[in-house]
Amino acid sequence: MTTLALRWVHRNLFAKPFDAALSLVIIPMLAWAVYAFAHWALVEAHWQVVGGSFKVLMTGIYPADQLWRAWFSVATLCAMFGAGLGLSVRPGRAASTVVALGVALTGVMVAVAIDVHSGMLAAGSAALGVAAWCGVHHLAADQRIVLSGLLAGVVAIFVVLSPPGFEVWGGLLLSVVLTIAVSILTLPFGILLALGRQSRITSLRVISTAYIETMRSVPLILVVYWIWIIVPLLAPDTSVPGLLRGMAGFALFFAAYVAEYVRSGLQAVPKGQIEAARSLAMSSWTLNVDIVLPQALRVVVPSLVGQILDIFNGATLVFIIGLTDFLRAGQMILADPQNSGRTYEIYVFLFAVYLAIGGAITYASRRLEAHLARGSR
Amino acid sequence: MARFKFLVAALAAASLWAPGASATVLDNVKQRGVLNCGTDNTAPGFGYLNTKTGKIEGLDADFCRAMAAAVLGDASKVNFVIVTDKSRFNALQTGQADVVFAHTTVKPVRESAIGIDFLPINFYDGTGMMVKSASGVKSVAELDGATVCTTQGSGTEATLAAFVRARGFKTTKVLTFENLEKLFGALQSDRCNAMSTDKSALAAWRGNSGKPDDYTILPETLNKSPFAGFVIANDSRWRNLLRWATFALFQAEEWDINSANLADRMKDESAFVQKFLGAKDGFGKDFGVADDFVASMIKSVGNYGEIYDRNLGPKTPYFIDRAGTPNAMWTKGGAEYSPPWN
Repeated sequence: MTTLALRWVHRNLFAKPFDAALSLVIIPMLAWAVYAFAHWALVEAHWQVVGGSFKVLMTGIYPADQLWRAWFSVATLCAMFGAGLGLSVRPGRAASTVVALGVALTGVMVAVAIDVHSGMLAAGSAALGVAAWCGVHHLAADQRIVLSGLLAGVVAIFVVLSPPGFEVWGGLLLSVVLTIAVSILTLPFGILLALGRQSRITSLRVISTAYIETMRSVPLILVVYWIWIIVPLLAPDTSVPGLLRGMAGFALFFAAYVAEYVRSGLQAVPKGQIEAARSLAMSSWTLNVDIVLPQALRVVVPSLVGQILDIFNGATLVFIIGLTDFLRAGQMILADPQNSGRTYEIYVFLFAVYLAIGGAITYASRRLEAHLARGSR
Repeated sequence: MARFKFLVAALAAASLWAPGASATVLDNVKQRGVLNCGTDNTAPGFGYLNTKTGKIEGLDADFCRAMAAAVLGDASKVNFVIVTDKSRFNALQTGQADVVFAHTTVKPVRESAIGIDFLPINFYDGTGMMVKSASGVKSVAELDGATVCTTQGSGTEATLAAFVRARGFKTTKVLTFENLEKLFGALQSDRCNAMSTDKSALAAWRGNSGKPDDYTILPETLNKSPFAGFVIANDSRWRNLLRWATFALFQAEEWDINSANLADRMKDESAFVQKFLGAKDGFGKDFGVADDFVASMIKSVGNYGEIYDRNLGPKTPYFIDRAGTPNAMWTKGGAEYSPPWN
């Protein structure tokens, strides 16, 4: 065993003089950084601040007596994520062990940070996700049924969360729900734009191209801010909540990028198929819906999933229109004198959560890519 | 291009015009039954969320509550519209907020070009200095030969240079840092003897340092940065009500009327005080609100001194001394001054 380890070290770290020099410089630095961080995290840091402000971090100023609505959303999101996973990833033994550990760890961590009740709810939600994963996989459920289930889940989350008013949404919940809603909204809009850009009707092509290029040449923050200002001016007597205006801004912006992804997919469909379909007198609708789009979307699904990450990270910009996203919730907590001097704890926690979610999305994107590639072999 | 400019101008005009289309904000607020008050939620001492109670607290937030009490008779009938430095004027222009209290400095262009009217100044901020308490420095006069630090490219840099020149400090060095975090770090590590920026920001960094007593904010203020709430321009009915509501908070402090002794003072022997509080024949009716609107404010949030002490007083981590600054009552040499109520 030791000889094996030594051989690995020799081959990978000290094979050549240059490698050895590099390793000698980098390994101690890395070790020192890890040690310094671990020492801080385990000895000096006051993690109580995260537990004490967990509710604000997760839901912002959402009313405390309405938190069951937030828990419903967490459970639904877990189930949706599980179901989505069930379509592409087999719940094998290694994966299930990791997930089982993850579920238990989540429960224990939340229980320690807040209380046992919340810990049980968190573990239950995670378990529900696993159940959905295994269930969808074993039943080999039809993709279309699963997809409509996911849509129904999003609608249910909105319906359940909205009664206390959109202005109290905040924290990670706001970031996640905004990301999901925008990801779904951009899809039909983006596909239509992509088709419009490829269309043989000139006016449609010009409008789509102009829209896509305009949106792609301005910053996201400008579009979001512009929508936030323009809506009350156009409709002064209605009050469209800031959250919905923010979502509209995000959707309008990212639809242009979706359109470009979809266009690349459309171009990947062999011309011959389109010509063949046309010579069979197929209508444009049938041609697009049954022949072109299924193949085009299959190619771009990984990019679209990757874009969800862009939307999630971009969601931090909504603070500028007065919404309290996850990052802003952290800053809000730090402005409270009770949490004075806890800057590093809060930011490390935010970093860890962003890293975990970003990692999950990247992983999902990679797995989907592998899954879809298998289908096309 | 000309057409585009016209479009922009029309949009800008529309943005000023739209809220004015309805008669007065006062009627809208009374009809709605809730005051939409713009405030920040990440400004320590001014507008921030108390994570234990889930309530927005701070000087600005308390002014929102006071205005809700004045207009609607109930300090809880306030809806906090969260604004940032970037969105605070637009939130008002688009009618999303009826009034904004967001640590905003009174400046001429803001009234001349943006289309807002300021309320009376409710906090006098300005460039200040913070030193380590261990240094024993009690006044900026002792900083001759010291290293004074501030942020790069800020207005403070120019203020500081003028200050050093005016005082005739020969050996005083001015260092600049990229941001407030690095600036505070330099003070902590003794690279700087004093750090200089707005006093409210100094108080926030001191309060958030974990050991506030290790740092002292010197009493002197080097330049002016007065904060005030603001409302949409050209609605004098609304502005006058909130203006006098703010003055009333100052007057109540001057007459020593506070939330504890309000009930007794309603029966005060002075007819002026009775009229002021609206015990009988008050000022409210003509402003379009309840006659006892001043009493409603004092009852729920207290007079100006109580609001100040609750958020920036000696018992808070963000202590900014009023004594010797414009934030003191005019009777104590400060600038908090209400015109007479009679």
